[in-house]
Amino acid sequence: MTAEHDWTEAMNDAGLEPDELHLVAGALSLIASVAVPGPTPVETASLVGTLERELVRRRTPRARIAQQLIADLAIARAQLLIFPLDFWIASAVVMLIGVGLIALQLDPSRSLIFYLVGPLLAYIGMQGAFSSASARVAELELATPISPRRLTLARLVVMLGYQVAVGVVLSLFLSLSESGALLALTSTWLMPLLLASGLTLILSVRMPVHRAATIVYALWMLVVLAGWRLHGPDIAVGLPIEAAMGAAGLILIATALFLITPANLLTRPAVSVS
Amino acid sequence: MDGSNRIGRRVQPTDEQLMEAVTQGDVAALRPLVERHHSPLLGFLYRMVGGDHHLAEDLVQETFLRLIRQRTYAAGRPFKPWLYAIAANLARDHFRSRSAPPSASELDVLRLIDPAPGPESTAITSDSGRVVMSTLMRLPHEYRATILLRYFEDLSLSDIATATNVPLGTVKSRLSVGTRKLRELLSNLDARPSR
Repeated sequence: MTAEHDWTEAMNDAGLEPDELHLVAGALSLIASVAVPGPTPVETASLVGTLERELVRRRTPRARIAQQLIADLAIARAQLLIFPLDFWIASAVVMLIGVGLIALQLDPSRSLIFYLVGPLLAYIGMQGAFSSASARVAELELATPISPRRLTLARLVVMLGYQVAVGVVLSLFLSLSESGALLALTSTWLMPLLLASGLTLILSVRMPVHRAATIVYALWMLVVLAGWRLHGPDIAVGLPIEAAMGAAGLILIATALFLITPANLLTRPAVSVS
Repeated sequence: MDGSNRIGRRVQPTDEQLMEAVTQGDVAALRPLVERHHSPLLGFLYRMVGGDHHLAEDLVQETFLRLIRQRTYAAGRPFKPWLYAIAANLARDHFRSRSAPPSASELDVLRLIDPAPGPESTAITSDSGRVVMSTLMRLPHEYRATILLRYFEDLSLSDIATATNVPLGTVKSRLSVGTRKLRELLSNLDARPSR
């Protein structure tokens, strides 16, 4: 370990006098001549092992979350193929018609239109997400080791993501042209959409999704029409109640995610073979 | 031949690049980083703690663990001064937490030394090596760290200022005063056996 050191520059940094240089070099040589034990390859490997374990232990939570997110995104992207073309077109057309009717002022009330449009989107979305694909997809799902909860969530994200995006864009145009508040406008269709989706999903634990979606939308229409008959065309319930509807929808979705089983979730052929 | 040439020309990642990868959880980046710095860091700490090999090894491990645990490494920050700053701080903290100051043992060692020089006077025996280490320990921590970092670890004055978190002028002053003090201490040691 007595490597040949060149201390000239360092001694210059110390601002030593010329007559001190020799003495200081001697003192430093004395220190340098003391054998310093170097680590053996085994000791270095052992240290590396300890540090690797520590690094893995420390990075695990964050890395796990990141990996989970990447995997979920991949699942959601794969689910795009399951949604039939009808879903994409119908969702946009329904929303466009709703907004168009309001914009053209052909409706007696925007709340009536949107209260019908929101759950209709849920009906279309749930059908598209869970019950209108082909039997080949069902076979694929049976062979895919993905938890039904994650699969459901991925499809809901795709379905609601698309519908909300289209709805918000159209609502934005409407709010700009009619100087309405975007939040209030969005709430009118989004909250019923969430509620109807939640109800459909929770019912689908006990029955096929297409039947659950039909029942929910039929009941919803009855309620809306009853409200129209009793209170006239303006049946707006106000932002707090709409917010409660949305919250209830989210709770129902969360509950359904815990109750759902592969049998509930697997895509069924649209037409029964029995 | 081509393959070996290609390997020979392969650019090694810098310490900073490796540390950045480690910060992002890249386990593979740890090995080259440790392999580069294990031996010199052990040497530095061995001298910093007065030749206690086991303590130096413990401090080396603790230094590297701090590297991983502290999430304060900023991309591009010079790695070596940071590494040695952690090591020097750990050595200082070790002696701060100790009830007995290091100077007590070094005086004992000085008393135990055989005053008669052996035939191989130029070779440093383990006893005399211990005495040199003990004498080094008589320097205050700041001076010792500055001297070892400048003379033996080849850190520049500005790197030492970064590592020890003091102004450049203070580093210059510590190096100047510390070097003279060290010369004085070790020349006394040289003179002692001949008396």
